Amino acid sequence: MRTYLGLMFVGLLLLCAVCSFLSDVFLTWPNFLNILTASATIGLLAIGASFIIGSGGLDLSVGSLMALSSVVAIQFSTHSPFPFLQTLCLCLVVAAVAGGVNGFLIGRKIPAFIATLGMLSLARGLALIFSNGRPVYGLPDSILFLGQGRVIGIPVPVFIFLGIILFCHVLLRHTKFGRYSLMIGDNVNAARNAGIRIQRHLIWLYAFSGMLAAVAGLLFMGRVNAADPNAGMMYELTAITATIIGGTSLSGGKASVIGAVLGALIMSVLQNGLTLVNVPSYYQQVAVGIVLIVAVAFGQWRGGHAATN
Amino acid sequence: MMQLKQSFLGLLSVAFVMSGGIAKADQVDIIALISDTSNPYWKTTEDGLENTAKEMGIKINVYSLQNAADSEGQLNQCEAALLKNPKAIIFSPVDSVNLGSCLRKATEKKIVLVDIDGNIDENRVKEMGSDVAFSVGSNNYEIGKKAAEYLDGQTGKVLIIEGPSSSPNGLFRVQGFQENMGKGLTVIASQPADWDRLKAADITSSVVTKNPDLSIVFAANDTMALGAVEALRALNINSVKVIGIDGTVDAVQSIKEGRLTASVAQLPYLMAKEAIKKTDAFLKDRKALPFRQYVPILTLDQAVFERNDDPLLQYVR
Amino acid sequence: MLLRIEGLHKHYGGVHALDDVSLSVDTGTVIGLVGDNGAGKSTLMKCVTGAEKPDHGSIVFDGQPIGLTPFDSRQAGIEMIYQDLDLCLRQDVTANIFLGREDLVHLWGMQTPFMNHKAMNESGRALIQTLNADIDVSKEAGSLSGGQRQAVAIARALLHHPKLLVMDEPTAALGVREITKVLNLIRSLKDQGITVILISHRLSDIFEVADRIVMMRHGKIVDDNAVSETSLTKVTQRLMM
Ligand SMILES: Nc1ncnc2c1ncn2[C@@H]1O[C@H](COP(=O)(O)OP(=O)(O)O)[C@@H](O)[C@H]1O
Ligand SMILES: [Mg+2]
Repeated sequence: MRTYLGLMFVGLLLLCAVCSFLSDVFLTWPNFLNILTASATIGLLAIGASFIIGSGGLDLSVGSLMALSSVVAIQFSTHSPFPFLQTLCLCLVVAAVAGGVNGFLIGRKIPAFIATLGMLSLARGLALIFSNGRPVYGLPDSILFLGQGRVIGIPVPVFIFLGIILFCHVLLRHTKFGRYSLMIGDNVNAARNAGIRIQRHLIWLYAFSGMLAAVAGLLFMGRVNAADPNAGMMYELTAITATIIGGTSLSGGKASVIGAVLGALIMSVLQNGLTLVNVPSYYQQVAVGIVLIVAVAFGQWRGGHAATN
Repeated sequence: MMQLKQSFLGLLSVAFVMSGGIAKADQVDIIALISDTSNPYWKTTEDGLENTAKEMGIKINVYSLQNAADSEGQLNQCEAALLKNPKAIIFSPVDSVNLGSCLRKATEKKIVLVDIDGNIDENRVKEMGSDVAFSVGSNNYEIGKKAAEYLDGQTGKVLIIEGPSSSPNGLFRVQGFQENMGKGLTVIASQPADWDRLKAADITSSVVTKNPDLSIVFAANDTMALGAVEALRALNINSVKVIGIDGTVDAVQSIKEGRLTASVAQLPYLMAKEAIKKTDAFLKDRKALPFRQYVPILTLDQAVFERNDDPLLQYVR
Repeated sequence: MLLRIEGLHKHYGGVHALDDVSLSVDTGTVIGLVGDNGAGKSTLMKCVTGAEKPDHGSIVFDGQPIGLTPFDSRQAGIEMIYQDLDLCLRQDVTANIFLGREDLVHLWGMQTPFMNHKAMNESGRALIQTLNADIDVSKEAGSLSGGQRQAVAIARALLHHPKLLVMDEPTAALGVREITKVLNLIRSLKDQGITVILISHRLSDIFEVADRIVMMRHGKIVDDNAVSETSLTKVTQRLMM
């Protein structure tokens, strides 16, 4: 894992070198901040996905939960005396409840793919209902600050992103919550027989994934000025792509927050670099696909290599 | 690992040395942000922008989306565009506010902003602190009105197929149609089919079954109009006239085959051409224009194609 | 009396895996549980640890009716080394030993939510050493040999001094030297007053360490004797019947 991450990092730097070779703008401080800001939403979802995939599961609902939580939160806090707090809490609670439902169902033997696919559709539908299908404008300034504000010249989303990276890294490596998530993905029977309460854990795990989606939703709406029922469409797949590029194996038991972040950065650099170099969006999709397959093939080859040692 | 790092650093330094001498993709006059080019309307717009710029010797980058609802992706593109310091940005926002923060920065950097496709609200943009020079697009109310005028003097029952209730364009088209409809026409149903062909077909079938004397279907875009055409053919009804909007390739084909009666064509290629020309002129003389710059529209039917003399026909793709 | 099982029934679809099983186990004894494949030995023990839920019947452990989950039974002092060892092969040895029993860091007498990796590594290493095994505790469990994996599973079970240890076919995959180790371990556990239930096909092993031999067939207990009152030949004959 560690060598793989090292190589991924080298890959990322290499990608940056190529981009800076083709565009003078690429390797500038403002563009660096652009890339970090742009990677925050997908990055947060990718971190969630690394926990979930590490547990042997899948969460396809995160993109929809971004939309649902932000739409509901804004609709119900417009006339609040504490719009910021209320939006924040509602956002987290809505997504945590929806995620908890995912976890509950998965704990009752409904395949994660199906439970969260259902939630993907359900949450998107609810978001459209609560917003009448239209973006909700007129956000409190404090929410706009989350997406657009700057502190000592650095965009607020970057601070939030970094804070959550640190939090989640510690959560995964240094708390029972993180460890049990991986144990469940590694050998669910062993985890159950060792006394881990699987059903309860899954509820918290998927609620946690939902809450990361809610934070992503907050950043999203702050950035684009609106609580958009169409927010985050297909983000779940991009996040899973980033997580896999970051070295998390789909078979569970292994995950890395840093890897997920590297994966998100690679995606973000690709998008930013290819845009600056004026590569049409069709080719950008091709590039993302190639990077995914190359990264996984490489990991596969390296994995096979390690197993024969 | 060590070796890898060294060879990488070597590569990096080579890249830096070489990058001094190579032509970069950064120098650009205009950057255009448009929607999803898998939609023929935006593909034609992209062609129009690029070809016109080329003819006029203007350097342009066109950034398009992979998903028409990707408001954050477009914001990222806009932020990237700012760093290239173009003279102008031509944009068609995903929704009326998603580019707000970026447009404000563009205004601070004195980059000329031009809206394309006319979806933004002038006042809202001003409120958000950005200065958009003008907006090039079709007048959706006029489009609906044109469709109504096409039916001048006709009588009978009308079915209106609307776009999604969230689309201002769709609403304006229907409004333009209804407010200018001839006295002899009565609307018996007006239902949204969300730009969807199948939904439009279903609505048409059920309405025409209840009202066999239906004489006209007006749909807020061609996709839905073609759905209505199919539904009527399936029921073997030939007496109902169907009018759509957009002048898409499929619609043109259908008109030529005598199935679709007419389509009020928007001319995205012309819109793109006008946008480039007007932006270029504005960059040169800085003469203020009225905010709304409307692009001509053209009603297409079999007769128009037979005469083949309208100069606007060259922009129908 | 440490454990009393009464009238236990368990069905898997049409299979009647446990058919009215009753069994009592005294503190500090070693019980050998024998029987053909499919007799219901594992199922019976899984009901005790909460890994399986019996359809009917009662289990009392240490004077208390037992809860129905592995969490409860471990709390009560029951440990089981399952036939497939239940290791998480992609996690390191320490993580496997401490699974479900992680040490947390304490600061100024207060518990923090953070795991104490250092303490776990140290006591994990010490525990492995007392088992006379030579294992690097930072290695992934998947990279260990069969005997080493067995040692890790034993270490997990012994971590918190259980009252009852169930071992399901612990010697099936081992070589002669390792088998001797396991048998010696059982003896020393008995000396420490720990009750052991040993499921095994190797009657010779059972005769070496057990006080009592319980035989199962088709989900029923068919034979229950003190080792001193029976012999290897008798038991072998009963099994062949
Ligand atoms: N999870 C299960 N699902 C279905 N049948 C099972 C399951 N576990 C055990 N059985 C059946 O129950 C019976 C007893 O099995 P088991 O307790 O494993 O026997 P033993 O350990 O004595 O070999 C067998 O017929 C076995 O096939
Ligand atoms: Mg068994």
